[in-house]
Amino acid sequence: MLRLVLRRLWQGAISILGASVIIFVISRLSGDPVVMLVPPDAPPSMIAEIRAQYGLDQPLVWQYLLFLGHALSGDFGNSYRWQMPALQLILDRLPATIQLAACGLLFSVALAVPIGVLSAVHRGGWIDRIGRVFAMLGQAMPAFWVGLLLILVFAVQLNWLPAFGHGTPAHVVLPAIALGWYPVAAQTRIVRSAMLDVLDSDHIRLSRALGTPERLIVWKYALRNAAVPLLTMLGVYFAAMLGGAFVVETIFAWPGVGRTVVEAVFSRDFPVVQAGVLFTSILFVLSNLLVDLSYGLVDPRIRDVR
Amino acid sequence: MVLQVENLHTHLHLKRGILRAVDGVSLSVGEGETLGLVGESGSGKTLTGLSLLRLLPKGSGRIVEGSIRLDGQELTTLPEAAMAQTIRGRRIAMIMQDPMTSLNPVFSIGDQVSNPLRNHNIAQGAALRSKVVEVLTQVRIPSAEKRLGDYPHQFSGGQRQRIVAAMAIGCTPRLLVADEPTTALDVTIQVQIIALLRQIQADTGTGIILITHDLGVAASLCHRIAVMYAGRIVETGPVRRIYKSPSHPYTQALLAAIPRLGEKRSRLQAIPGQPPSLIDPPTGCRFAPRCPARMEKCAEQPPIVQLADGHEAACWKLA
Amino acid sequence: MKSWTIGLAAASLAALPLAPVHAQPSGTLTVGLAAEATIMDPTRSSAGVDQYFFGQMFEQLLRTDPELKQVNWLAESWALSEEGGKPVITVKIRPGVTFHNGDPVTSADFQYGMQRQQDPKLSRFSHLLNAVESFEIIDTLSFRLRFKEGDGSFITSNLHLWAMPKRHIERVGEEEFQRNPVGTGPWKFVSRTVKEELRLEAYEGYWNRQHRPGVKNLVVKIIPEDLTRVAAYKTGAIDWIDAVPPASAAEFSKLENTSTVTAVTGNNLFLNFATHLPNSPFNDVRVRRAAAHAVDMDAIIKRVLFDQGERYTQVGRGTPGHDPELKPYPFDPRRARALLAEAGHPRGFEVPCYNLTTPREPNIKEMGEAVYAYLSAVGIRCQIRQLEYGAWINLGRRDAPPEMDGVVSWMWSHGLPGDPGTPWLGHMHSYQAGRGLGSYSYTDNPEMDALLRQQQTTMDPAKREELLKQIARIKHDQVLGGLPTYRPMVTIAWRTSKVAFKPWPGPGFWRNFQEIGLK
Repeated sequence: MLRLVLRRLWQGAISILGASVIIFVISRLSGDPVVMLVPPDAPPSMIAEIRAQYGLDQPLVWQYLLFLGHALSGDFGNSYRWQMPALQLILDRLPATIQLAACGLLFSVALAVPIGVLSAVHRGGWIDRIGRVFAMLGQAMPAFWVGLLLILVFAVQLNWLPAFGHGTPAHVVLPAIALGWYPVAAQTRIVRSAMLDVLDSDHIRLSRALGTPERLIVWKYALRNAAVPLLTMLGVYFAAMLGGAFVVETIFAWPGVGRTVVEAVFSRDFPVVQAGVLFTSILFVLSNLLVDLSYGLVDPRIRDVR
Repeated sequence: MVLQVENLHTHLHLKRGILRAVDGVSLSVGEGETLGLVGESGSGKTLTGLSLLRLLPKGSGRIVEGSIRLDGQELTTLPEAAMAQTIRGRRIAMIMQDPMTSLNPVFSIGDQVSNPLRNHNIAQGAALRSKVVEVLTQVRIPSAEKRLGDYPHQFSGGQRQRIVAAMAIGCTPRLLVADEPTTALDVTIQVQIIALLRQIQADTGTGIILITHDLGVAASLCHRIAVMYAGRIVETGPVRRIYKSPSHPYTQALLAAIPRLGEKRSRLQAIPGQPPSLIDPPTGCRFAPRCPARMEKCAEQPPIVQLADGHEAACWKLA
Repeated sequence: MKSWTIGLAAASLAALPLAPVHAQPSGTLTVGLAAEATIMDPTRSSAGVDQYFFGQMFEQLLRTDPELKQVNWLAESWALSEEGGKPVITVKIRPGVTFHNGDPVTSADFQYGMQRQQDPKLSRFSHLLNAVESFEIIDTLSFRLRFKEGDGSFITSNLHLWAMPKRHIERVGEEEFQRNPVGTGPWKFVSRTVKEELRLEAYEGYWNRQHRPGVKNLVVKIIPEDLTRVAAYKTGAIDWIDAVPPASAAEFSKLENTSTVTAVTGNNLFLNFATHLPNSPFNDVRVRRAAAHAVDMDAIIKRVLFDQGERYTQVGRGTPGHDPELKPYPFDPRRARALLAEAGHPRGFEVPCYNLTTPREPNIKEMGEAVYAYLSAVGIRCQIRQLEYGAWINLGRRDAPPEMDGVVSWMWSHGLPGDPGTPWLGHMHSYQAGRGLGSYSYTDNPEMDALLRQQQTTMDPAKREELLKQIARIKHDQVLGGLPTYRPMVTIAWRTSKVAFKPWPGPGFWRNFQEIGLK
């Protein structure tokens, strides 16, 4: 187990390093951040001065080495726009981001598992057909549209929930639904096909032959077998939601990391982009690691494999 | 009589037609008796076994006629809920062919063995645990107490089949349906499993229906044999008599096809032809198209002829 | 319900005191803005959007009032004179003005502020104070600014200087001051959560008893998504909304219990042509005039901008240099085609047309596409290239690739009422590398250059006005330095029964809460 963790962390560190190099180069190729930080009539001397201040006049390799050196001690430099530490800008948004991603994932699982299981159990029945349409709708409706629709119905018309912002549990409901809506389709399909596989297996038939109530067969004995492929998918989605919920965050004015990083990209705020990408890479690595470890929890056969 | 089956007809409703898989089967199993249900693939023997438990494919399988009585109680008219609660796993239990896939890989054996015990209210709590250990010890799983938290993949094939047996006998069923329990195991383990089944029968007096295509296995365990062909029983009798004096041409051909040690034969003796389609089966004797002793009369359904004590066969030649 | 449109010439709103002169206002008002400041210190800011925040807390010597007239503010009086051939401005500070921490405002504070504004390490606008030679303190409440040479836009920029609390900043340090700003404005800083909200409290010791807030607490929520902001207003989460999306403006004017105001913002949009490239067809003035006749700007304003735009000809109403005699080129596609033919392009020509997609003004992408469609219709066939803000800025700059090789939709704010001087130096004066002139310009006209430099050093307002008008006429006639399209308007709305609001311009914007209160 320990070896697995260490190996994954090592592989992860390499991926993160690679990502940071790529982003470093690409962002600096995308344009000049300094002209966006000064008024249009700024004299060239000021532009040159600021460029020197930010070390943007140095050779690229040297810039990267400096960045890496500072990054290893936790210093990602100051945001060009906000004039506060870039890392702090990201980390301050972390609790809200985690809250939204967790709730979004919870919502998608809460829908996908029952629909997927019932679709498999009553294969070809009306639940299966409705489930398939529902899943297709999920994939056809983009998050921003779902978000605006939710606001229109539940906030404006019915006034049940707040339209934007962050603070109370009520605030997270609509954004979580908007965020978790799209993955429901894919997750439902995975659950359904995994369940169909399992329900066909010998051990389930034996269980039935020994008089196990159907309810127990489906929800305990079959479902746990279907969990492994679902877990893989959840891990990927969770990481994606943590770093990339930009659209939902903008619509609901949710103070999350996704928005921060995308806005930083638009304003060529390199330190924040760098810190944001690093943060997201770390999340992906950790998320994959967690999923790997959780396989062991769910499927005991994996525990004893190297 | 523990089990009495009379004129059982089980049909499978497929897209291409109605498959008459079990077409008028009658058999019986007494206390402490093992009946071998022998035949080739597709003869309907597995489906007969499944019919006893009413575990037919949802929607397509149906018992259309006949009676199944367990200790006198009619099972064909029992509601589904009663079947699950009082019959399956409680009074009739099943052991399946492949021990590698019969156990749920993500649950401990302790959980899986205690499951039927719990569902049928045999024991609860601490008593449940000791009952599980007891039954695992009964099937010769060493250090059962310590291994309750272990998972199926931590056991060998033979041990897994024993665990399945433990799940089956936990509630001391009246009848055990063993569907090819040794087919997926190597020969040395086969012997152990057969010994185990014999042991169980000696200890509990349970009846056993052993479904198999392996005549050797049938010979070593069964008291009586019923030979099945194309959905029908063609010959029934005590095991010795069947092997010594097989009377139905199909039984004879089956036994003749087994190669013997020391025999010099360049070719295996097979039965020419194919079993008939059960969607539109021929009237009359179903073996007739392949039978070396075919007569004109065989176009008519042959009667069941009593040959000796408990030995009968359905053939015009014997009438 | 009621809806007023404030044109710049409308004098209907006199500067009447709206807020009852309470000793202590109370209550809380929640408002919604579309964007937020990144820096709350006027001497360190570089983006216009920062004014949304610091404009509530800091003040200058002069100010623009709701009628867009320049009025004395922290300066009780001031005078322009000359000494030894060089301009001098003498300022008397209004007595009784205090900072939020209670410190009185003195000349030293303005000197300190000016030093910050002149320090290129702190300020991005230090070049605007290049002409100031020295700051001379006369006494606690008066000082003199000595100029090396004339600075034409110094006066129209409200004398540039902000009141900065010298003793306070020296005591608490730069970092603390950035976190908790202290100024003289009607609102005191309470707290700020990045990307969420700003909380302000009405400053009890505020000097202006006539124009001040009528509510104690102001919560400013940041809601970037248009429809969400509208939803927030409709659900009552906010009672005052900034930047009603143009498509919803009509709906808002009819909403129950809602008052709206639509006003011109300080931004000026125009098309610019690649006249710096020797073989560009736009080097021929007839082609430029053809472009001017080709676009039906009124129709675009009406349909694409939902009437949230105002036409202007070189200089907008109220801004120095505005000439009511100058009228925009009339929409005349036949004339446009004739001019093109005359200039040797009977079949028209292909040209790359660069369009800004980032909505720094509402519907700017659609507006650009509409304009280019009109150009294409007369033969200036546009191959539209869409650019987001960063790439667009990079394109416009003369000192670095890529090269702008066709038509570009551009903007340069004159302010409110503002001044065209600095913008024209930037996009009409010839490009002089290293001197900060013509950084975004494709024009090279020596006569124009001379006039522009002359207005730059003319401080006498009347003389300067004449110069600006002269420049505007030439610019208009020759279609130099770009073709003006429109000035965007913004619609603000609030709940009539609950909110008393009088729009005051911040420097260039209307998101100013000088006079807002609960009824």
